[in-house]
Amino acid sequence: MANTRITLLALGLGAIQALAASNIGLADCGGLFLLHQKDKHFAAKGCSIRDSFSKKNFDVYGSIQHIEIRSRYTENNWHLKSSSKQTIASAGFEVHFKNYSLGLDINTLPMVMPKATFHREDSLFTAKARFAFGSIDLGTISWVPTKQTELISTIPVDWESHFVYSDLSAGSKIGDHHFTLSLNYIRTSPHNPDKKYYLRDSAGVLVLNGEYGHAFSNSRLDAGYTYLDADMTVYGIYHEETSRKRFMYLPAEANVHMGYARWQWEKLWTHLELMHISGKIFSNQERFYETLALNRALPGSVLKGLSFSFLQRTFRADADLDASAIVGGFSYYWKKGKRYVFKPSFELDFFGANGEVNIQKEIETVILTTHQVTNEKTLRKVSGIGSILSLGFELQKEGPISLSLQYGISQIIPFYIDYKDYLADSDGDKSTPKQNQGGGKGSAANPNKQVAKDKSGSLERSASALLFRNGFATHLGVSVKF
Amino acid sequence: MWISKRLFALAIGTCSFFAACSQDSNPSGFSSGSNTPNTPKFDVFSCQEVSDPSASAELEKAKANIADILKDIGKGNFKNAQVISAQTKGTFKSVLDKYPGNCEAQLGYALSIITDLVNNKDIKSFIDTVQNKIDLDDMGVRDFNQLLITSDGKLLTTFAQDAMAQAIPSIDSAIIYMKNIVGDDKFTCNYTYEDNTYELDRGEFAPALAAMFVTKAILTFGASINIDFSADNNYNWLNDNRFTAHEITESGARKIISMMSKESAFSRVYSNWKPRYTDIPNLLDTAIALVEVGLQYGIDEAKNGHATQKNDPYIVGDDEMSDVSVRDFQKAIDSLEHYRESLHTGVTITLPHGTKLVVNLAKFFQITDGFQQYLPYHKFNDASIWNIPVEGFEWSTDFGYHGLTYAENDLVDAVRYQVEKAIKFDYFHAHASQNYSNPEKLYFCLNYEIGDDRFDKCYDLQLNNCVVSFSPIENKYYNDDLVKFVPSPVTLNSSVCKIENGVHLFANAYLDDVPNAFDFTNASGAKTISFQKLANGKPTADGREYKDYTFDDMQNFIFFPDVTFGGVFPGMTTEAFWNLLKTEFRDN
Repeated sequence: MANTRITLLALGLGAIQALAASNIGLADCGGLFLLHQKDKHFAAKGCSIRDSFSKKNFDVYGSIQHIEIRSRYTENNWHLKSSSKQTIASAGFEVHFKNYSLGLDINTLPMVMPKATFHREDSLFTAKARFAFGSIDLGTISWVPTKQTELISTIPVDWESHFVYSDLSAGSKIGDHHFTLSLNYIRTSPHNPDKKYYLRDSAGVLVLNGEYGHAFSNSRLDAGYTYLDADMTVYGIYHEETSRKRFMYLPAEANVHMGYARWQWEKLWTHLELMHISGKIFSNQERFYETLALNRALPGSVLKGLSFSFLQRTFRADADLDASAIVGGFSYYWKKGKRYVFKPSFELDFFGANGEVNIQKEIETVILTTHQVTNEKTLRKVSGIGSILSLGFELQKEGPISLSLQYGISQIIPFYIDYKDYLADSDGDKSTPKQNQGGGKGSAANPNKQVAKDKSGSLERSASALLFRNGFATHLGVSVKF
Repeated sequence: MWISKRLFALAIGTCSFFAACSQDSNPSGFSSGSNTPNTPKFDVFSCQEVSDPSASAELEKAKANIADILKDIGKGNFKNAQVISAQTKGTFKSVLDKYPGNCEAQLGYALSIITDLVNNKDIKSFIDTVQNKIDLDDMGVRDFNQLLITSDGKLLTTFAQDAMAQAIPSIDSAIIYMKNIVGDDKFTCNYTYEDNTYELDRGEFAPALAAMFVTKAILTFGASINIDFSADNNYNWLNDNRFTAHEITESGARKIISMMSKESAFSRVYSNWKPRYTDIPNLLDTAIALVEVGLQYGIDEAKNGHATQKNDPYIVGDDEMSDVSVRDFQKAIDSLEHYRESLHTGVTITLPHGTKLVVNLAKFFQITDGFQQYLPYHKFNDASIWNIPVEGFEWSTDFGYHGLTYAENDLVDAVRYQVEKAIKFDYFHAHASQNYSNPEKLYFCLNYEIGDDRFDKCYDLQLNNCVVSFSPIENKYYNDDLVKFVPSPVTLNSSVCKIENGVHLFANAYLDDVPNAFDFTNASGAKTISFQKLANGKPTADGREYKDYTFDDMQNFIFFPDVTFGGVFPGMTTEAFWNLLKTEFRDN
């Protein structure tokens, strides 16, 4: 979910950044259909229309962007569905002076972003500062029981994040060498909206980015490195009139290292990208800091009243995530025609990825005066190798009014994907240390032995069934320049 | 605070008032169940401190044991619980002897009375017997006489009801102590678990006492109703029914007919238990009132913020550092008050698809002469003709569609009867099948087990004038040469087999090969539809298929003598009853 948040924020900011070019009208639509399985689903689609024009030293631009992201995760008796629908209208201007530019962007997230750029006339040195604040509706996450009853019905939880964004970057161009260094910092602060169920977050995200580019006579090399450090705490709140009850407390931190190198030689592009992500979720033993305390989330009812006396169940979870990925490949395009240019393109990438999540759950059950604590450890591992095939074309009409039509499709073709759930042990009574006997024939619980649950499954044999519905992306764009 | 006191007084008051009022209004000559327990009577003193440090230390240790015992019971580790429980109960008793008014000792003693139920001779023996029977079942024993009768010839149902009856006086004793504890709104009990200190107060004691009342109600319910489904103290009728291909055998049909009769003792409340049974609504009423007292105590505590709630299992308040709001508890109290009415007069509840239904549970507990009187009007057929297809079937060349072909059932049972005479097996299964491209070609396979050994054999079937003869097929199954048994020819009854134009035809149910058990009738006893016909549906418009009868159809066939079911659903009319079914079960 943290990824979705960052994605949305990036899309919102990107909606403004992409408009710096002048005299361009652009409309495009794209869709990403990453997963479509019985128990998991993820799809995103979006469309935007952008327009900008320049007059003398003055640029004005505006855009409307619509984004929809949907995901679903199914467990035995419930689904977790998330949906986010955003329509963002943006507008901004930038005034250019001899050594500096000043600008302001606003959008309907809502967000306001003043910005300033300083540069030497010879472009030897550029410095840019941007600052933004606003809020973003991150969508609704719904817990949906498989069997709907009057006692427990769907619980929709809304998530809105209030952020302050600052960005400092400096660039230099010495001969054919380009250097850029940037520092971004996003801080979100908790707010209590007037909603029945909501999430509020408190986060700090630091992004450091360094890029180097070199233009050779007929080729170009680019390389870069990005480091991201994020820590956030998400609170789940049930709110009714003057009462607010915390049913979820989720502190998490993540580190991401990304590096890339790209080389462009005429119509051939090659690239190599590496990424490593590590994350943690922490448990807290303090009262009211449980990862999940479901009794507090129940809507007011007899069941809720009785539950505190007769059955309270809380969960505390620790989780470690570690994942790495490598993607490398090449693309080539052809150019046909003069007045009308037809540019078909072909790209083939290969990827390898593996990751694992280690979750330790502590489940505390209180019935009247009795307490029982059980521990459950699960390990989920996923690994895969495959390729991404992209085909596309661009149709251009050059002239005083230039037109361009682009269309592309991409498909992940997995060679091998393996997904496994390991259930380490479940009957871990906290007060009795575990004794790991060898476990003879028929011995059910041997905590040292990790048993793969039914959920595990290798997807390699059904790779063809995964095509189109899993890992498919498409994009259509039209731009007008005059 | 006055509300909580009022509710508490009401809870205790209603309990004793109704207990005194209840009487055996409908004595009858039916068999008695377990001996009804005597309610213990003794006085307890209001809360008093312990001044002796050694007694105080003993108390603390015993309190810790209670948590361990409950944990063991929760895990099904009865042996461990039995040992600790006996010691713990003794410790609390010795402190109580010195300080009869000490509420902590009273609380501990009350809880250990409950946990010590595992040490009650009869209950202990019942737990052991049930465990033993579960082991037998796991070993594959399918003799119901062995599974449901103890070694000294006692029915397991009687044994269970005796054990439930035995538990009631202990619950009563615990209730007396707990009432005293709940009566003192100042009394709190602290204990430590996993380095955390918890404080128990009336907010917990009242629901715990409510749980005891509910337990007593459940035990009373369980001990009161005649659930004896043996025939002459044995379960031969169930044994006969074990491997039959039909839904039920003739002896089974006879037992069902006798149990469903209005004159049957089955489902009646034992005459000596009637006063206690009819008092169940009052036990439940007291339980609800006590839960309300507990919730109200939480609301009252919230008025002082967190000051007195710091170590409570739950904290009532409006802020984020509390578990539940005053408003939520108040809502729960209001709802409980509403539902409490159903125990005395009637309360309207809304079903999932929106039908409003008035329910009066008090009336349910006044039904002591069996539930058979509320069954729809019906007339059972004689057991000897249950397995004959009369309606809801057609003649076809199909044979071996399990669940449809009546002739297959007859054949399987006839063969089983022959095998039974020759071989003593522990499990038997057989089925017939048909070659689809050549319907005249029929097969029959049987499988039986003796201990862990499994035997299989298949035969070709020859039909001649509805007489079936068998010729063994070799090497169809591994080791099938061990089975030398060849069934003697079986003559299929004319009700399931006939010859038309030289072709054998068999009786095949439209939807389900159910027994011709009974006919639904109207109030004057005239047949409206047979069960066999109803279960097999009606033809679709094109006549190619059969579909289930709808509630609209059933409304014309099924009539109830009392659609209010003895006043449980006051004001219910026949039309409203069928509308409820149509609305709430529309998917079915």
